[in-house]
Amino acid sequence: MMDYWDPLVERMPEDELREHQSKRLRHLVDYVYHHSTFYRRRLDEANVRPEDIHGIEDITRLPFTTKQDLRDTYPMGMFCVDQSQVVRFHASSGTTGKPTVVGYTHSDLKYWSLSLARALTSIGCGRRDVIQVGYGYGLFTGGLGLHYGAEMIGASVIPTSAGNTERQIELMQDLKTTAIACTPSYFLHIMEVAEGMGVDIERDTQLKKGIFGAEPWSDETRKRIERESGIDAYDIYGTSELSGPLFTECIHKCGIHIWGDMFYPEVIDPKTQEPVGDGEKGELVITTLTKEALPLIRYRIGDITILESERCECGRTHPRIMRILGRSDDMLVVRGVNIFPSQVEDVLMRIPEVGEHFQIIVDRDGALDVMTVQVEVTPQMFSDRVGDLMRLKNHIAARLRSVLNVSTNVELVEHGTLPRSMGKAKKVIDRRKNI
Amino acid sequence: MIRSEIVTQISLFAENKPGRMYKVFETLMQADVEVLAFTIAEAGTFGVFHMVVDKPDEAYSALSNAGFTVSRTKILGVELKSIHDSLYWISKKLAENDISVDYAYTSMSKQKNPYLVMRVSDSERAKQVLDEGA
Repeated sequence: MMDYWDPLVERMPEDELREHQSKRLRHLVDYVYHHSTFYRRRLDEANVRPEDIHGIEDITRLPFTTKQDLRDTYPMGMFCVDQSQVVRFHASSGTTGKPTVVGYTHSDLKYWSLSLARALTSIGCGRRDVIQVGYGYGLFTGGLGLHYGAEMIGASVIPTSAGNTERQIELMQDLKTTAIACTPSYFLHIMEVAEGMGVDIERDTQLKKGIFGAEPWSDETRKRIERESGIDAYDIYGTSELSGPLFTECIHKCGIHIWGDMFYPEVIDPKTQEPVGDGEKGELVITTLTKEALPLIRYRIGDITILESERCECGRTHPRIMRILGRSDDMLVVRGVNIFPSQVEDVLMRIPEVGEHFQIIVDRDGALDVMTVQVEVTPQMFSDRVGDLMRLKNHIAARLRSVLNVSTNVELVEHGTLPRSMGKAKKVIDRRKNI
Repeated sequence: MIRSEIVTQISLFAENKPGRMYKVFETLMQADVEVLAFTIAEAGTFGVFHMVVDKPDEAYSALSNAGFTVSRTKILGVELKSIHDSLYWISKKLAENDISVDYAYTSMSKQKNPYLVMRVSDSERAKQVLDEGA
């Protein structure tokens, strides 16, 4: 039995959806041209007038926007409304330079919640669910985003935010939590703490679903979480610039549904900026079709993914993106080879004895880049024979080498020594920048 | 004259950095565990500690609770009359019976006689062979 939040929209025939997108794009370009000096200048520079845009196929005539534009116009230079229309602000942490600020009108908040209401419904959540929101509440969009989406579908929300893990596990048991939304690395931490408390998630709680995102994670991590905790783990996607968390997989777990009536996704080759075909890897570009306060036109998110337009088994006609493969700016270049931390995670997760905690350290030895992957020794991995440990270490190094095409040092470290993260896991230390 | 037995060995993983050995022995001291024999097998950035103690279960929980990755292995312990002759004789017996030795170390001489700890390919058979020969 498949439930839809907006059955008519979610199953809208593809040609009707395109018609809908065309109408919204025409309106959007006209709207930004007349409400934002930034956009007017951008469109004038690109020699595009609102009346040149007839349908969604004309989108490629529009210029891209980037995170740099948001920084350059900090705090509100790209807004299309004035402060009196804004009912909420969120801001990114700004670890690299200036933070970015996103504003929301009443309508923006409604669409954000609606997007999540559809998403949560698509993984089978509803009024009978108790949803524990373990994303951070505050300037970060995860907590409040999930919160209002879950309230919209009538679920009972527990706003635990992140941290205070033992208390989270007690509440999970006492309030009979059925779904948890948090980062995958935080859930792995919850699993560890639960084990230490003698709580078996599968046996001692009602938890059935996890909604995990806000950091890259692999299918292997999904399998491990599902195997060890007995829940279904779903991927959720969104970025603070677009609103926050917005889209998830449906129960079929075959890609994340992007609601095409609200957002128009494209995938481009980051070098040539030309669109790539369905099924080809490239950088995700999204145009917001309904936002008022801070609409984004062809926004280059920087996430690498694959677009799939085939209709999904669940009956939804909206396009899907495959699991995020990495970020164009997370990409490490080691000895001239492109490496994504997610590839390393993927290799490690395929080796049964290896635990989930690892760290990548890139250093320079003379003129050569040296990459080291630190892996924590788990009880499953430990042997009293040094030879066994060395064999495992060499096996990990060989697997990494064959996937990454770069030789990697593997260092076994004591359990509990690598940083555990409550938010985005810090998996990479690049010391070359200090040279 | 030798006497052999199967004993529980405690092994643990430790990174090769200052203070780790201290942490191990501080933990055992606080748990009131006495170490009878001990060695460290070194492998570059890390080492594996091996030890035979008077209370293996207490040692195991104390070290685990201190955050170490610990294992327990059944291993061969042999009490020797004299090191020189016994080592020759024991190694000869094991060789004749096609038993290989992974690693070995000797006791801290707490007891009167020297004590040899050995990780061999087949502890049970090794014990049998040595007992028969003795």
